Amino acid sequence: MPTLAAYFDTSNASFLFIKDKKHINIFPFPYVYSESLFGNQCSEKEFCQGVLDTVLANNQAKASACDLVVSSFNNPPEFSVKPKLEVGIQDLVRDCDNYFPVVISGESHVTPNSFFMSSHQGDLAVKNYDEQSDTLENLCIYPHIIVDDISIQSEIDKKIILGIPAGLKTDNKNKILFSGGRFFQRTFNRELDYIMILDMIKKPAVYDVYIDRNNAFPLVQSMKMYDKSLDIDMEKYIESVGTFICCEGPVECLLKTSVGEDRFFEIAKDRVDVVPLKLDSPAKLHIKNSTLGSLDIHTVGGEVGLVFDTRVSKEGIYSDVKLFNVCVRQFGKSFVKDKE
Amino acid sequence: MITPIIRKITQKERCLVERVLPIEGGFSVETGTAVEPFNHLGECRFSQNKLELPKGFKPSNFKTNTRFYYYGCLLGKIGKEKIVAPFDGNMEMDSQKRYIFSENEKNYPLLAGVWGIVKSIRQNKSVLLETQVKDLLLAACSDVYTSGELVVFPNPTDILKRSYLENFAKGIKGKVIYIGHFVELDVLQKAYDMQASAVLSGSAHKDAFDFAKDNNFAFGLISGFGKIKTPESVYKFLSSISFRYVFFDGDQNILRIPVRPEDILKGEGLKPLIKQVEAGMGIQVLQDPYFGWVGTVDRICESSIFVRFGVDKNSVEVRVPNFLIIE
Repeated sequence: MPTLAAYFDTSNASFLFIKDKKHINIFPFPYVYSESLFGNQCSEKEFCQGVLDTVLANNQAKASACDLVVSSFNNPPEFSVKPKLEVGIQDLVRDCDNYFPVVISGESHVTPNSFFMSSHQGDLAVKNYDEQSDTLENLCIYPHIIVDDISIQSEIDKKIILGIPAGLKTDNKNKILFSGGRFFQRTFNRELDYIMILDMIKKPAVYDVYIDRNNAFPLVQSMKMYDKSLDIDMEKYIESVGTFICCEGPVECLLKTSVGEDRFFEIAKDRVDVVPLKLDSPAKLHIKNSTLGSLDIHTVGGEVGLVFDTRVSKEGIYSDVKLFNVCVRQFGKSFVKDKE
Repeated sequence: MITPIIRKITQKERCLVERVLPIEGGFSVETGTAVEPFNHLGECRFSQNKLELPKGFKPSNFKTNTRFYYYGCLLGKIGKEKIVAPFDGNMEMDSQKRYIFSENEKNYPLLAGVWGIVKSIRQNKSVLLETQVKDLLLAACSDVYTSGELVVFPNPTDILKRSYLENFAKGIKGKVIYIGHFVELDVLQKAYDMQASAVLSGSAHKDAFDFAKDNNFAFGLISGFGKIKTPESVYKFLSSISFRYVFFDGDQNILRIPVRPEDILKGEGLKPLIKQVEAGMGIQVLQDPYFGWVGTVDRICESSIFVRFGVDKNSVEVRVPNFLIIE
């Protein structure tokens, strides 16, 4: 029987349709029900049912002839057909073995060992009546919109960071997957995604960082919870950002690629540096640093490449304008070709 | 790309509207009576204005428990400031030794406000009417229920708005005013001071909205926060129903407009909630610097669309999902 997994974020929704083991498709729907926009036409239940029916119709399937698996960031919506499995984001996050998942939606976040729920984005704007506060208030009316103003988005990100003051505690996992509405289908100002991630990673270690821009994590994870025999390769649907080397003080690196071009470089203390790197086969990276010691790792890089953070004090990037601008420039250079 | 459709104006073929007297009174209609907006349903009698005089007020010639004053007569003084009666009424001292000046009781007629049929009458206090309406969806509004005659200002410049309000000064009380694309805090405060029943505008800053919420004043934004235009179709619709009795329902985010039965389009049925975006469709853009503008889809790309505004030949790129189909 075909199976449809649906995930409802606070600002968008996504669907994973499995017709059989060979036909697996993800359908992003970058909108969500808002009382202020659709309250005169339908209820949230009717809206979600309408979206679900459209997705099924596009796949020549019917709700009655399909197993439905529903997950959501907040309370799951109701449907005419009872889902075979209904699961919240916290259970999905706790059940993940391969990655340390960090799901961010609005100003809220959920990880396997922490969560912070904020109900109203407009709180940022209290008693501050300007263009920025208007935009933040409009996010309550139009929750699906992606803010294209760097300063406003970084204000929102700053608020998210406040929910994780000591940084992520990754339980010794070094593969971190960032998912949720904050990263969904972002095609512009991607530098801000990476800056926020960098600001969350404070504990010295080497991390492989991934971004899920299609809500693949909750979809695949809920599908695996429903049918444990399913083998879906999530990496096909997520962005590999690269390797984040978080340490204190200067670091020496020797990068050995399979084509034989060895590169030696040093990153000075108190710097954020990006070395663009995207390979097909893994390169060997030898690192020497006072906090990390001497390490040999294998990396293929990613959309960004290698990210070095040698700051001794990992204080907020957003409060240091100079550092923030350095980060925008550093992350920007890794995908300058995309922009061209 | 499939995109939701917003319909700012929707119709309801069968809708119940409750008309309520401020206090118990009498009704001149019965269950099943057909009514039109200016038909009287009934009336009650009560004092419709009260003036609470501040501490330090010294009444003039107030020797008994209650005293009648004509409009314009001297009520008393606060320091050297003379206070005159703003209406015919009686002054009393309450249990907390405050002076209260109440207007003479007057008849309060209750109009139907809608084209409909009386469904039920409850305890000489309220009438339930079955009618047909059009609802204008408000993007944001204060949680207040009120009603009144709709006054639609032309979409004027900021300078004109105050003068419009002042020119309407005598008749603004109890009315629902559409004030333009954008309203500043001072204009909203003026409307509040002049006892308008409700104010509608395309947009406002948050300070104006907070003022309305703090003062429990009915205030509705059609498009959102900032300086956003009211969609042309909505403005035309409001203009076409100027001076009609309307209901501001803040709880449901709507302005409910009673219409004649013949104004309802028959056989509309259920409309789709989402559609595939196609060239030529009407789109509301939600991306700066065109936030709130309504245009037409020119062409569609993988992760964006190009939108044209009015007769402008140039189109602008709008990224997914920063737009909605508007019908």
